[in-house]
Amino acid sequence: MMQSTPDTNILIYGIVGSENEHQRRLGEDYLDLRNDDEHRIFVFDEVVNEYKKVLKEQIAYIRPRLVIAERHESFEKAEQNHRDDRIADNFWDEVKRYFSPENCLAEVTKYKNGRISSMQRRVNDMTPVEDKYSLDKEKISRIEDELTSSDENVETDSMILYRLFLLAEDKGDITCVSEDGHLNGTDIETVEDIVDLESFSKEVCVADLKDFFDKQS
Amino acid sequence: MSAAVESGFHSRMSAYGDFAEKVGPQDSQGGLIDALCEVARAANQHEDLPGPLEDLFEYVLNHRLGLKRREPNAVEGLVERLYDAFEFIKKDIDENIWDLLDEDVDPVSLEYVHSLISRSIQGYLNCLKSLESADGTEDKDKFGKDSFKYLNGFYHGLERLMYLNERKSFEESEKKAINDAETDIEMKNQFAGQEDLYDLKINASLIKE
Repeated sequence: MMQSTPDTNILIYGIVGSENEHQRRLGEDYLDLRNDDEHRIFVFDEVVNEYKKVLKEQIAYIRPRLVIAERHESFEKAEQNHRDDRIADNFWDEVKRYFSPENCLAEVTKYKNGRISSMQRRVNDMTPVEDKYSLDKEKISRIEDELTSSDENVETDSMILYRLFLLAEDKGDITCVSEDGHLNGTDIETVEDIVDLESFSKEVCVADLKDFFDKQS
Repeated sequence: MSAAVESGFHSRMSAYGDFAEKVGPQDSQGGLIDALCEVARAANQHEDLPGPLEDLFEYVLNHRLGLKRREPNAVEGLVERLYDAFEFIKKDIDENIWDLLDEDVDPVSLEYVHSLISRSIQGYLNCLKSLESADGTEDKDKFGKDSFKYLNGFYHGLERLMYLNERKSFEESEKKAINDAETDIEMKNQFAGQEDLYDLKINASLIKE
């Protein structure tokens, strides 16, 4: 249900920038890539916060309409004084299809909480509590030395890179697309040498989000 | 008169804010009990105190000695009333916070602050629920540690709500801070007891489902 509601697909539009026609097209191309047979895993760094931001903005667009719909128990009444929103049109249509006006406020709130929990679970699935990816502190330190970033997150970034190789060994080739580009400029082959996994045959690459889409066009 | 004023939501919001501010986020069950005992008498004088909050403070006043002594029956009754009170607050906020839109509060800002408050309370309710199966002191200590972050989120969220009610909208940096606070609560929950992982602020997600 609710195929066109805020989800990772809409996240891509949000991140790439729906104001820009070219980037919107790249977002659509990305969706095609997802459906190809390569099954390459795409890992988006820091995506949870961005996802929540887009999700909340999407819902906020229609929230005033939901209030009116519930008060008057009528979606038509809600539409009378609200112009259609380019981004939230589909979402509003889905809300009308699946929920009744008498309880649409509460249902959309439940939906929001459910989507956030679901995204967080996906993040946590990748980093399980009983961490099978135990990280060598000395290697983390050596990777830090290779990073171009020097801010307070450098240790976290080095752990992200380290984990990417362990994840690739486990799951397959990985592309890490970093929303703010702070992992870029790092020599990934040097990181691979530091991580030094025996018989490692997978591919790991990192890319700035904008560059990633440019390469696909 | 706006819907929020007419329905009494403004008055209740103020009561919740007072409650959060006076009780404060406590990092142990003992601390919470002591704080409740301190504020119950004054809080009970608040006009239009919602039913479950009134029940909570009345219970604290009537079982003050047992609670101070941490008698199991007294504490069990407190946990039950804490659950009812927070469940009520969550339902009230989930349903009625949107009346503030009539008062020109920015919808996006409101969505952010609602999310933090609602998820913090849900986390706290889950903590309270888990006490039912808690056996020893260790479990109860964990409750204190886990519940602190949710109470802190609730406290922070309400403080932001009061601020939003006055200011009507947040700056982008303020929205980001609320978003981060909400994510932080979720991360801590999953890695409770795993300090190394807790410090890892990785937020990657598998796109391939």
